[in-house]
Amino acid sequence: MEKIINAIIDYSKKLYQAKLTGEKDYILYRVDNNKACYVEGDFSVLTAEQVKVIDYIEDNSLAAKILRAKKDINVVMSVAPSKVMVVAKARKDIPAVLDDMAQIVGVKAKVVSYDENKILKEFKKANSILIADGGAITTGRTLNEALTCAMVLEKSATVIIGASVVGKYKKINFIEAKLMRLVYKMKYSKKNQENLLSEEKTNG
Amino acid sequence: MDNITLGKILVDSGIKLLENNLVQGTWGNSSVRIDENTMLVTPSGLDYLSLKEDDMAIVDINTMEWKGKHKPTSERGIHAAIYRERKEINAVIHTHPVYCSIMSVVRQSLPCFNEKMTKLFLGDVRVADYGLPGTNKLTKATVKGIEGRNACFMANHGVACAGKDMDEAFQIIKYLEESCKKYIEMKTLEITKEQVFTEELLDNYFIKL
Repeated sequence: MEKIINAIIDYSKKLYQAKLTGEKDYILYRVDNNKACYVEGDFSVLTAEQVKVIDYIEDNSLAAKILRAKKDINVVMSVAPSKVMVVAKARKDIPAVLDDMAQIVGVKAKVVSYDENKILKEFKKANSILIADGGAITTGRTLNEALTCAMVLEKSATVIIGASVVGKYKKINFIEAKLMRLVYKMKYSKKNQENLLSEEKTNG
Repeated sequence: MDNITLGKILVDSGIKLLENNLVQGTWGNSSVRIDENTMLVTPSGLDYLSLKEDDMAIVDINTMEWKGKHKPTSERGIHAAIYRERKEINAVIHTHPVYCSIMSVVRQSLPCFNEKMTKLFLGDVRVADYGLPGTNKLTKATVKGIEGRNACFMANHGVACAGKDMDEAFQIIKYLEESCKKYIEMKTLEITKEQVFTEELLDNYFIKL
């Protein structure tokens, strides 16, 4: 457990250094069939002592509900990257305008109002969403995968904001975006992610 | 130059790309020409900070056969095609920096608005047609886009830069990213009719759209 907690703290620092955090973010990390590690707060100063072990089957938080609903992921992150927040404030979706977005997040990340039912419904088909007037919730099989989603969302948000003064951006064709996501998922397959997960759990 | 010396050039350029925020994680790739028929290219999926001189792959630019400890980047076809077409080019960088990416998604050329741009890029920086990553279509489009230039944007993807050596290729990518940023700032002022650029000005324009 100590190694998992260290990995969570390590990633909270990575998120902070990548300027993807706000004042109160959180990470929820599935440990086994009912236990998960949860930490929230200012990611610049988090310590291992702040990480709590919760029963996510019983827990009533939105993060626990997402973890229960999505069997294919182990990590839920709430983050607040600055440009993602601008797009969320404008209540616009982030479409796949770049190959890395298509591969890592998918065809689009939708902006959803803070309504648990709507958020859970959207997470049935997405790995990341924007919260209207808020930040983003990203998920992943590993801490690294959820962090990468946050990085890619922030880059895509920066790109569509910048594009607005130059001209109309062109989205990647729907079929090609779907194809890229499929190829990416195959390349970074379950086995590959299981290895990464094992590293996160053992290297700390 | 021997391959270890060339490998060191690639290691150093990777670190410089990271330090200058021109690349993230394991994304992007670089190469240097060894001779008329071969190039040394960065491997697929390795972190720039952990790269060693002998991690690079030697690739035949005509047959695409390769030797080395690691598989070369999946975009090696683009590097090879540029070396085949452009005998004066000895270094290529392909990456996805954020401001260049903006030009790549609006699919508009970047005009030269100062002498340094004209000297470094050899003219307006065009956008190569879209192709899925790793495909021949993307390679052909990139070679066409960079024809007569030292750089081109790759639609919805990133940018390719080429130089007579790695120092020049790095200078080009760095200045191109700075120029794209400047261009976005100029466009923001033009469209908002304000005098001083701030990030908030751009953000607010976007929110009100």
